[in-house]
Amino acid sequence: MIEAFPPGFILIAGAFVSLAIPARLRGAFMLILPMWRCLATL
Amino acid sequence: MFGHTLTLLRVDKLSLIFGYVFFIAAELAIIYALHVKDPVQQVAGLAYAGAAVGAVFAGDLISLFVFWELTAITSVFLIWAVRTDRAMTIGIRYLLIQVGSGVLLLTGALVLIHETGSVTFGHIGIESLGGQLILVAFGIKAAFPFLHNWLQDSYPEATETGTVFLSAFTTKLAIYALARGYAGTEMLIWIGATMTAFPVFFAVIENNLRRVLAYSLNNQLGFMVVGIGIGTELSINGAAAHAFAHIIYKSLLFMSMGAVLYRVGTVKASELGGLYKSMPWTTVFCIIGAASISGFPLLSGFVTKSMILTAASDGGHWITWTVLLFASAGVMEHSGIKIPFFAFFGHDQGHKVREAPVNMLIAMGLASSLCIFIGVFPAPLYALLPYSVDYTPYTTAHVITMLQLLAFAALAFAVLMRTGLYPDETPSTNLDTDWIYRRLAPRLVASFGKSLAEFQDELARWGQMGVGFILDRAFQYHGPNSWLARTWPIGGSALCVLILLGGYLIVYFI
Repeated sequence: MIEAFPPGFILIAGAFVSLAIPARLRGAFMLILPMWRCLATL
Repeated sequence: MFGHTLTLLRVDKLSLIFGYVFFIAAELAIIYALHVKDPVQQVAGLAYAGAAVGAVFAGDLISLFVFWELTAITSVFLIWAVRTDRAMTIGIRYLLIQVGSGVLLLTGALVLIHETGSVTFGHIGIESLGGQLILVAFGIKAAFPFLHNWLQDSYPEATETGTVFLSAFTTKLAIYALARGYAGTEMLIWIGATMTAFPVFFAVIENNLRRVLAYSLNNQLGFMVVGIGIGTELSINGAAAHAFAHIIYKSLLFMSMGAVLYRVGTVKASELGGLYKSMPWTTVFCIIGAASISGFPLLSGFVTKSMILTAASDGGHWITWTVLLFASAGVMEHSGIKIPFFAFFGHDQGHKVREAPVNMLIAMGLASSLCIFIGVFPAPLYALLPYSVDYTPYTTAHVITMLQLLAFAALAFAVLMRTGLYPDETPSTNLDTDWIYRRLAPRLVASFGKSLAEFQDELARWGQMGVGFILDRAFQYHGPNSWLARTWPIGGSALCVLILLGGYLIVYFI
């Protein structure tokens, strides 16, 4: 279902979801998950 | 919405190439900022990238406006994250201008929708009022001449990682929007040519090296705007390819200066020098970025910028072509030589610092690799371009022309340095056109306000005198002992009435 969302929304949502991730892992999360899902939509 | 269908995801070759490079830029910037633990910067950076990607894939003007404004709102936190009064003030100025651009875009979009009945974001042109308003909105974000000051004002003042994000998205989003809406608009050729030339002079005399890069960014945007203005398949391809390459090498240059700022605490040329000893990797990566932006063969700038130059000469735009050639030499002067020379060589200021953090080096290494890869193997990039490509960058004429240009630019720098004619790197404030709205306009408003207050005081004084005069006269005639307050005899009153009635009769018969 996530592919139905435009990639911009995924990145913005990913940015705010990352607040729930511990600070030391946040960078890695931002690097991998939103980008991967985003590229998957394209 | 109001009977119109919004298209949040429209993927074609033009949006796709900008989408891909925005992803690459976001990944590079995130790697570069991995050591940052500030949630404000982390969230703002990714949300800003998301807003830019959203805008690139927006298929209608309303969605474009929403993402356009989101880029402004999210990116300002990268400036405010410095958490100083100065950063707060600059951030507010930046936000005002960016949101102003969004308001113009919305106004233009509503006028255009009213005129055409369509909400689709396609070719717009400048024939209609809506199109003209939208062009100004795009022009603000693309840093057209006289609308450019927000760029040099804000980018050098963001955090060292924030500037890397900032340099990638806002202006290139505007380039995408111009390519989509105004391809072939001749006015853009002249605007773009001006953009390539005037920042060269400011960049040469500027002491803050991140501000030099901001001027240089302005100059590179000019090349893309010229490409869009020419409007041929080759020039649009050139503009898109140059945007792609530019995002990477400009990020690389801002990364290298960010690393210097992170370690040394300053990026003022007058306070730097000799850093190649303590930051050798950063030095190498900076030189690769500087060579790329200058258009050295085998690097990305060469294979993209030459497309625009060729399109200009093919179209017979000889004046523009000459200006672009001058601007290319200027780029070599201020970004190709000045940045690495004053930061890493020049007068050794004795800074003993550590090399940049590993994540910064990895990001710079990846960006450098991309610069070299695109320069050596341009075919994969050309395959992504909006139109099919029949262009060979490595011809003898191209290579020799560019090498001659770069060699003479380097020679000019050396001669000017040896003869002491090169502008001194000293702490100074260089006046740009933002002086008009940051200094002159407030003074004029203050002066006008003072004059208005004086006029108001004078008016009040005259008013008081007038009212006093009327009261005096009223008191004189109607006061307790005045002439009109006397008790008149009945005979006198009857005489007055008789005179009035007599006058009335005469008037009636006449």
